Amino acid sequence: MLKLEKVGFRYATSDPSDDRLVLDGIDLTIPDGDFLGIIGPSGSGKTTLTCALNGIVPHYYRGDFYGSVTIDGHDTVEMDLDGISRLVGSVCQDIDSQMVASVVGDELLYGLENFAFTREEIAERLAFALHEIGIEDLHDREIASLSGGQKQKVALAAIIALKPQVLVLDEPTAELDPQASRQVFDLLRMLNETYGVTVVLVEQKIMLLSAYAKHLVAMDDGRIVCDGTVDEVLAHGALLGGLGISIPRVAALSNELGARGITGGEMCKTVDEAVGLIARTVEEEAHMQAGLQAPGSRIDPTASPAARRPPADATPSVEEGTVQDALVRFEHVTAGYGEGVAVIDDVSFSVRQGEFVALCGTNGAGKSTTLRLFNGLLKPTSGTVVIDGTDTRATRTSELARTIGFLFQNPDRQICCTTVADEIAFGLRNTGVSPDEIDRRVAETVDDFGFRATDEPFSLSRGERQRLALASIVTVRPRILLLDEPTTGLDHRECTHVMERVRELNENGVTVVMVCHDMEIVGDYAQRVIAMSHGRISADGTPYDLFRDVDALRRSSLLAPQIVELGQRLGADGRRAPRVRASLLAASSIVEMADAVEMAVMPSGTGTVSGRKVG
Amino acid sequence: MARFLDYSDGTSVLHRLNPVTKLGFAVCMCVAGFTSNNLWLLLELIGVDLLYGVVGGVFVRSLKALRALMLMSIVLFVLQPLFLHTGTVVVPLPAGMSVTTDGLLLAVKVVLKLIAACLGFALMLYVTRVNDLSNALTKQLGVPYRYAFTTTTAIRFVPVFLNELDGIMEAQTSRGIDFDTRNVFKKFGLILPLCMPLLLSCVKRTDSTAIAAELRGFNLRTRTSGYKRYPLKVADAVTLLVGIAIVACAFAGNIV
Repeated sequence: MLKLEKVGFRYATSDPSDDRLVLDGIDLTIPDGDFLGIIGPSGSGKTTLTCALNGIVPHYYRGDFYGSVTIDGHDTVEMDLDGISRLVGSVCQDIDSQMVASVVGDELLYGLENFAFTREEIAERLAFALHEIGIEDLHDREIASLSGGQKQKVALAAIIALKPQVLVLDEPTAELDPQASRQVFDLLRMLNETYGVTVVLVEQKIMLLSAYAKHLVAMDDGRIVCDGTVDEVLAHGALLGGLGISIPRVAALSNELGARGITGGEMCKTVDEAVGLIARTVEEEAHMQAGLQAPGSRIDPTASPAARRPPADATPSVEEGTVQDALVRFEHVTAGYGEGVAVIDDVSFSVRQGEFVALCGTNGAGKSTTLRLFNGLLKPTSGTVVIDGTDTRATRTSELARTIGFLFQNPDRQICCTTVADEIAFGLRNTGVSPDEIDRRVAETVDDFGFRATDEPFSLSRGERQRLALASIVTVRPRILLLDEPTTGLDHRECTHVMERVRELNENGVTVVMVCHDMEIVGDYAQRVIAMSHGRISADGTPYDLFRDVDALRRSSLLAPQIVELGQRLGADGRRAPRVRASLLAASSIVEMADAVEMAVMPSGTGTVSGRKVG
Repeated sequence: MARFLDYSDGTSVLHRLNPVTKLGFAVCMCVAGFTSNNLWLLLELIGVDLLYGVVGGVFVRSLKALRALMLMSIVLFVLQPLFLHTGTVVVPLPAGMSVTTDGLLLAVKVVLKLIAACLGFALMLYVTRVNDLSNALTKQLGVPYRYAFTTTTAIRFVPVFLNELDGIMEAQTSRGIDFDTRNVFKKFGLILPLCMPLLLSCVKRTDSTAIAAELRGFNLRTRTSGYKRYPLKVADAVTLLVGIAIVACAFAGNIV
């Protein structure tokens, strides 16, 4: 059992004004065999809490440590790091940094050799870890040649080989696509349920976490603000929302249905649970209303979400515009990195001025490669990429930068100046803008994004650095904005800040092309989705159409957003009235879905549900 | 795609040699390269390196490494003649300076020495996994694991940091910085401001790796801990003898 009592921690720093406690009065008991998720906004102390559990604090990161952390009654301050490591295995956020060897087999051997297990024991544990994690075939592979998901499995296997009692993980799926993320969570569940390993993990993907964890702890400003079972914590949707923590949309829907009095407030964490709850509620209501036929309908069918939504074909599709209208044209493009290896294979499409396009697909599908073809970082081996009439093969990337802005996943590769103002001015100086104009635009951009001009970029949070990187691109006034996983590593609030700014730019005429794994964000912001699979386009259309096309989703290994999936499953029931089905199938937001469910629960429109007034 | 100093997988006789033997041979080639003043012997040493590449199945990479070393030597080649003015003047230069036959000969020798000395180490890393190298150094030579791990991790990080630099340069090119210029000197000048993001990224990554190692018992490692065994075989003895013979030839070449 892990027990934290009044734990506080302040990092040792040379700055006397920085006396903030990163952990402040943490009381937490984690029973053996628990699966605990830690959630919270950036800078809330989540990572430091994991460091307190695995002994990095205070044994590696020095500072003022208060209270006590005990593992099976042993105080971590009195143990050394090696002793703690025998009980607590850790997987850090940056998976490439976690690797200490270049080959999978050596990576697994590393801990086993250090802890001086016998040769027989090492062989047995090695086989066990490879088998349980399902990576026997990777044993001799170079780690550099593995995908992100495979690397994460190797990191897990290397820890599992040591057979720890507790596994502490810090955002283990941050850079993985939904499919690979789910595989990692499946493995964690297997280790938890089969071998009784206690799992403690920090995760921003709360939808996934809610489906797997037994308990949740929500943190803010170094303190625990809410803890309990997943249902108990998710029920505090408003509190979590105030802290900038999103909850799964089906959970938010459950809260909404409970607040409207349609359900008794039962919590749903997954689409399956939501389907079950709503089906039960509709059935119960049907029984209650059997024999009751109220006149009229409280709900105006013309006001239903399906009616409000413009018909799917009202959203302009790419075929509508002529090729001459296209701002970007990909014509039979094939491209790759090594000789003879095509990552993109005969891809053709065009993008019109002002579109907001999302490129989706699994890791390795060719999305980022396609994005690099836009601004000439990669030139096609055959076919042509034409940007605003310019062939990228005939133009240098640094020249295309006047037209195309590129926001990378990692803002730290972009930021290189010592103040925010310098950073914003840096891009402008390279595009031949006059000094007076630079000063004017920097002042305007600093003001617009709410920065302080003199702040040091590297002292900002990850989300702020991402916004700064965006600001320094926007100030150049590109016609096209490319975004490569712009929300990775950001909490919900930071993510919203970045994406709302991108939406504003798009509304002002900037064409946006975004690579994104998060289908909720794609559904919220994109007007068009180009799905890719194995270097080819597997689907191209509006999010509305794609999310409702099961074949296209399967072909592209994509999952629809929770609300859409829920609507599809509920709407598939042919026993429901046509207009109810239409509303369920069309719903894309929580409010639309709650309206549709309300309609399904009381098709006759009595105005009350199970005796409760519908508000 | 294999990058500079990356290991190339294979089963050649060189891949199967003891890592300590391969290191010993590379040291011999390095000593011979720096010792020898004989132009032909230096060329022969480079020939031996290329033969090593053929045997190890990494000939194409050997040629690429040779080309990279030649490019790095350009500055040396250009500067060297400016400091030696004996011999026949080949190209007269302003301010009383000139390029002479002696200067050119010295420049050629310095470049060949550098190539002969360094190429052997690059080739050793093409056929040796760095983990095997650190394990064997600890087990066979008794080098404290702390130092062996640090050295091999530094080698392992070279391609990682090159990738990071590539990523940073791509990000900056996308912002309009002229990294895609053909002017090498301009490009070099542009790289300097990138030291900060590169340094930060390197420090962060090194710190994370140190933590990951410490959390897996790094401090407990001893000479006897290693799982793999690295026995010395006949082929190792033969390779080391060849290496020693090459060093002897280099010394003898200077005497004769």
